This record gives sequence, C-alpha cells and structure tokens, in this order.
Amino acid sequence: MTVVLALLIIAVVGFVVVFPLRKTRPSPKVAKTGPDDELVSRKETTFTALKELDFDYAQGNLTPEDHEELQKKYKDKALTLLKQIDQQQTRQPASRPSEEGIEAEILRLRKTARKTEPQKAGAAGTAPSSTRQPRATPSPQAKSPCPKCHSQIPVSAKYCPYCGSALKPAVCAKCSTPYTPGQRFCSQCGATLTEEKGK
Amino acid sequence: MASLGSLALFLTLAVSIYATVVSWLGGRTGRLELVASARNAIFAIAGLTSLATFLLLYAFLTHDFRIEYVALYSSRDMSPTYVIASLWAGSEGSLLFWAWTMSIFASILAFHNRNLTNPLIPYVFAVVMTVQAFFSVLMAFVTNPFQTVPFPPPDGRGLNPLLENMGMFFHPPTLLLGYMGFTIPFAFAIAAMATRRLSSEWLTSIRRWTLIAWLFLGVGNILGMQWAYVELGWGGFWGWDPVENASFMPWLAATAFLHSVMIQKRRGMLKIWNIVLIIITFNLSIFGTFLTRSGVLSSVHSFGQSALGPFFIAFLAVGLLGSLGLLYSRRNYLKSEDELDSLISRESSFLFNNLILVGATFATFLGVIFPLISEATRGVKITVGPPFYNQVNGPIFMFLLLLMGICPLIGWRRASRANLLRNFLYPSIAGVVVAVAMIAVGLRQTWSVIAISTSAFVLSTILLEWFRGVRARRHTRQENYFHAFIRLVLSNRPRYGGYIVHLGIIILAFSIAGTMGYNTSKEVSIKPGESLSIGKYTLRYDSMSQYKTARKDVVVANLTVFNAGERIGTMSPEKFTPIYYNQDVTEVAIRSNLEEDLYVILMGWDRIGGVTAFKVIINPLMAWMWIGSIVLVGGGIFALWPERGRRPVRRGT
Repeated sequence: MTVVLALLIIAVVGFVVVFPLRKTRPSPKVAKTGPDDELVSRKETTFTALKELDFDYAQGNLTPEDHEELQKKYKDKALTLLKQIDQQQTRQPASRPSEEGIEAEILRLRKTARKTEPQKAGAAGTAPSSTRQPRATPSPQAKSPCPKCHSQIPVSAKYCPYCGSALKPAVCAKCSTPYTPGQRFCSQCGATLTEEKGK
Repeated sequence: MASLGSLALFLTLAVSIYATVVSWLGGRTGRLELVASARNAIFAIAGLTSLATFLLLYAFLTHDFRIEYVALYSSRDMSPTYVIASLWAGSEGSLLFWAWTMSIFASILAFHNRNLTNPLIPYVFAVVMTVQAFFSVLMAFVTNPFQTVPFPPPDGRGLNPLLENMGMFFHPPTLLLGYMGFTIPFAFAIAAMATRRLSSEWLTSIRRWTLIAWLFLGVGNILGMQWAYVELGWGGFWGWDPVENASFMPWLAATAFLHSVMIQKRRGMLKIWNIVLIIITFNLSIFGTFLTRSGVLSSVHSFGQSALGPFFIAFLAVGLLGSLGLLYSRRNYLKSEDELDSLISRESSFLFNNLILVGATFATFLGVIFPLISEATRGVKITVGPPFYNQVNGPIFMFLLLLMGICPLIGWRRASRANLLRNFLYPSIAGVVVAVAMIAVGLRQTWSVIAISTSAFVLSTILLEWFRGVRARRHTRQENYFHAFIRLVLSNRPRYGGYIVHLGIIILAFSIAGTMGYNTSKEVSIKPGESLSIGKYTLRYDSMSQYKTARKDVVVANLTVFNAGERIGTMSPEKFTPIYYNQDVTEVAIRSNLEEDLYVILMGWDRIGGVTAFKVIINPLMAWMWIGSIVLVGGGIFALWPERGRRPVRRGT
C-alpha cells in the first residue's frame, strides 16, 4: 500500500512539473529589460515629489517661498525627464519601421520575389522550401507625415524640410508646459501662446 | 506513515533543486516553459510539504510513538490543542513548519505571477527555491521529523510544562512566519540585481510581503512578551535573552527598511542602502533560526545542542557574501537620482531614523555574540545581561521616539526656521507641560520623565498632523470634519497606518516608562493569617491547599486582597511539579487594571512551620503594554489592507 502511494505521489509530482515542458507551440520569451525603465521611474518619483510638495504646502509644512522654489525645481526636472523620454520615443521609429516603411518594404520584397520566381522555376528539382528569404530590415529612409504641412519627411528629422516647422513639442514660454499646435492658451498657467516659427 | 513522510521530504528536496535550476535557466535563456515548470514545481512542493505536515500532525493526534519526535514532545493525556502545538515544539517540527509555510507563501507568489510576465519572477523563484532546498536538506539528512525508534514507548514524554500555555499555540508559528516571510523580499532584491532592473518597481512588488513578515514578527514578539510575563514568573516581559534578541534584530532592520524605502520611492535615493537592509534582515532571520537550534548560546528558548550549526553558518556565509558581491557588481545601476536639499528635512530625519534603528540592531547583535567573542579571544564565555542592553538601547530608543515626532512635521526636501517654529511650538509646549506636571506631582525618575514627556510631544505632532490634514481637506473639498478625517485616513492607508503604528509605539513607550521607572516589589515570608502590604494594597495569606492531576502535583496559596482597607478580591498563585519533568513551574496570580498590575509569585514554603515566601510586584501602566501592542498591530494591518477601488500592484505582488 505504501509503495503504491509513494509511486502515485512521484507520478503526480512528475506530471505537474513536466507538463509545461511539452512542446505544443513556440516558446514564448520572458520580457526583457526596457531601455526607458530608469527614466520612467525617475519621472514617477518626480511627479510623486510634486504631489507631496503640494500636500505639505496645503498642510502648512512648507512656507509659500519654499513651496514655489521647490515646485519650480521639480517642474524643471520633470520637464527635462519628459523631454528625454520623448526623445527616446521619437528615436524608436528609426529602429522600428513606420507604416509607410513597412509598406515600402513589402513592395521591395514582392519585387524581389517576382525576380527570384523565374530562377526557382528554372532550377526545378532543387529544394525551394528550404530556401530562406532574407530577413526584413527597417528602411533607413522611413518617413512620416509632418504634423503641420503633412509632407512625407524622414522620421529622424528635427525640422520639416518643406515648411520649416520645429518637430519638437512646443512649450509655453511662461511655465514650460508642452502644448499642441492650434492651442491658444496654456492649459496650466493660462498664458497666451505664440507659435515660435522655426524654434 | 513515517516512510511516506520521509519520501515527501526527499521529493521536496529534489523538486526544489530542480525548480531552482530551471527557473534560473528560464530567466537566463528567456524560455518561459522552463519558468512555468518551476512554477508548477512550487505548487508541487506546497503539496508535498503539506502532506508531510499533515502526516506528522496525524501521527501526533493518533499518538504514533514509533516516530521519535512524537514520543519526545507529546503524551496520551495532553489536550488536542497542545498536541497540535507540539508540531513546532522541537527543532525538527519547527523546521518542517518553516518549510511548509515557505512553500505556501511561494505558492501564493507563484499563483499571483502565474502568467510569468514579470521579468524578475524567474530569479525570485530561483532564490526562494534555494532557501526551500536548504531547509529540505536539513530535514532530509540532519533532523528528520519522521525518524523512527526501534522500540516505541507506551506513552510519550509530553510537552515541557513551561510550554503548556496558549502562547505556545500562537507565539512560535507567528515568529516562524515572520522569519520565513523575509525570504520573499530578499528574493526580489536578488532578482532585481540579477536582472539589473533596479528602478523602484521591485520595491512596489515587495511592500506587502515585507509588511506581512514585519507584522508576523512583531506579533510573535508581543505574544512572547505576554507569555513571558504570565508564565515565567519573574515579573518582567523582556529579558534580552539571546533568542528574544534574535527575533528583535530582524524586526528592527525591517522597520528601518520600511522607512527608508519611502525615500527611494519618493526621491530615488538610498538605493544601495535599501538592498543592504533587505540582505541584513533576511540574514538576521536565518541567524535567529540558527541561534535557537545551534546550542551555541544558552537561552530559555533554545532546543539544545544539534548538528545544525555548521549548515546554518555555511548557508549564512554563502547568502551574505553572495548577495553583497552581487550588490557590489551592480553598484553602477544603483546611483542616487537626487540629493538631500537640506539637513533639516524629512529625508534627513528618515536617514537619522535608519541610522538609529541599524545602530540598535548592531548594539543588540554585539550583545548577543559577545559571549562567543569573549570565548574566542579570552577563553571565557562572558554573557551580557539586561543592564548592557538597557544602557545602550535605552537612549537610542529615546532618540528614535523623538524623531518619530519630528519626522511627520518636517516637510520633504527642506524646512525653514519659521516653519519649524510654527510646527513644533504646540507639541513642544505639550511635552514641557507633561514633564513639569510629572515633576510637580513627585514622579521624578529621570528616564521616565524624559520618555513620557517625549511621548506627549510625539502624540501632539501626530494629532497636529491629522488635524492639519483634515483642515486642508475640508478647505479644498468642502467636507465636514468627520468625513474629512475618515477620507483623509482612507486616502493614504500606508501613511496613516504608519501613524497608527507610531501611536502604538507611543503607548508602549508610556507603559515601559511607567513599569520600569515606578515598579515596586517586595519579598516576604509569612504564615497563614498574616498579611503583607505593598503600596495601597494589603494581602492577607489565608491558607495553602494542594491537589493532584494525572500529570502534576499542584500547591496553591490563597490570598485576600484589600485596596486601602476595602476587600477587592482574592488571588491564588500556584506552583506545580510535573510528573515527567523534574522542575517546579510557577503560575503567577495577576490583578490588572489600567493603572497598574498587582503580580504575586509563590516562591516557596516550609512544610513544617507553614511559613510561605511570596514575591509581590506592582507594575504601573502594564495594561497599556498590551493596548499599545494591539494598536501597533492594528496600524500594521490598516497599512497592509488593499485600498478600495485601487487595483493591486501591476505585476508581481
């Protein structure tokens, strides 16, 4: 009886442990470290500090002067971090193709395929199934539309080569809060916004 | 049954080694199916250790004395409650309990992270399973709880009579849960270093685990204090015994971590320090487990000599050096994101708080290992007693108490002179008024005056902080005082839970100051019919009676108690001699109210002349010790409780 129970326990444990190892589908990968983690963490830390600052001020733990000075310091820091995160995000499309880039790449691959098909047909008897296509790589010339004049421009451009507008987010001159084109007043300080050409 | 139990333990060892290897490989190669296999292995280990625990418990309940551990720690006449508690009465069973609860905690962790999306998880599994494997090795090869005896005795030896208290049912398991619980925060710290994901994300994952372990360890210590007070019969609650210290040290280090972690989360500072604190806390937990079992130091708690010592020392050395080595290799990823704006700020007060807590931990550690150092250097084992700890830790804790009051009222980043004056004026006045009042009424014991006036100062700062929070909320949200208070407290459970814990500490400090500063005791030998007086009480010794049970001979002294001449009741201190143990056990008699405890110990008696010796103690404010403890634990649970409407932490809690 004990031997049967022991074997049963071993069998159940073995099955439970080995079950996930069976090969039914390609192995998914564990998520790897993202490059922005540190920046995002610092941004969150700064935002938390800003919130704490306001609560401390509301409770009377900080004088208005200290509050204003420290708030400015942390807002500047938050802005710098946001800009760094934005820069990282705008750099990412260079390594990841845009929609236009993907379409251009598909077109190129189709053309290549059409060219190689007659060759394959001529070389009948070989093993075409084992022939591997070259891996699609993003085009270095990937383009995206300019937010102002909608011309197709390189994704890495800092200024539009057609209308000259700056491709970095515009910021309020008074409080440095980013704003979108067409906005007339700052959402944070209420200051009138003036478009700075070619900034 | 014993062979099945042993099989479960050997399988646990094999599967935990397998889980360690495959989860680590899964992390290195990114192959999720390996990590999934490790996750399932954790579930299987929970099943195996549960089976082993159930089998041992079954052996206890059926009095299967073929198993040596059952014969040593239980007997047929024991009540089922104590039979269950016998499971952790010895080294073997307590290690099994450690391994079992470890596997349950690991399974909860694995279940929460069953989709394996958190990149830290493979390494967390690997570390937790390494610890599990270590305890399995001990049980499988050194102290197997299923060891059988060739000639089973007809009855067992029974539980040590000192352990026959309800404290036995709760104190050891809560302490063991506390020790064991720090494995998971430690595993996350190692995983964060291994993966170089050292932003604040891993801290979010371990907050709840750390609080749970801290709470269990705190509850375990409090229950130990209460048990010592009612059972050991010396009138105190904390004797700075090496094993008491062993459970106090990781609690102090974890308290330091719970504070400094806030600085990292808010300011991105103290990253290396936080990892060091987690490493220290975990290793102190293992050290505590080792101290009870190694037999290197004599203690009321220890299990006696065993062969476990070298295994624990090797494990501690590998754990400590390995984790510190990993920390050194990752130092470039742990740079501070900010710097102190001012020395007079909440950050700096947190920093002082950390230094003090770690200082107290170190001083206690030094006291614990001093006998070993003195034996190694001078050949004589010199033990340091309560005077050393009281002299060193007393002022340290007093300063800590003061910081507890200063910290909430200093704003983050900096505090100006005007701000300090405005925030500390009223609390300082409260502290001074209390000190003056105490001196005026004749309570002039220096340390008690300092402690109680500081407690008043800290209490005022907490109340002021709450009042200002309510006022700010009332002003911005147009709520009435009651709603503003409730919503303020519920809006940030960790913060206000922390304040409740501080309230508990203040009450404890108040009680300790009263008990240690103003206790009075008297030892007298009197005959039946005679009386003794202490403070406002008079105790008349009426008679002595005896009775016998199946397991013990009991002697009871009957006393009538008068308060300022008015009869208020009777007290019956006892002393009994267990049949199977050659030691007398004292059962004290206690009359308790909010003002003081009247504590009577039956010391001994002359069988011929009828002269009986009593020790009578008045412990002022003792009841506040247990009230403060309840508040402290309540605050911890409040901080731990999930916030309503807020989703649990994104990945891996």
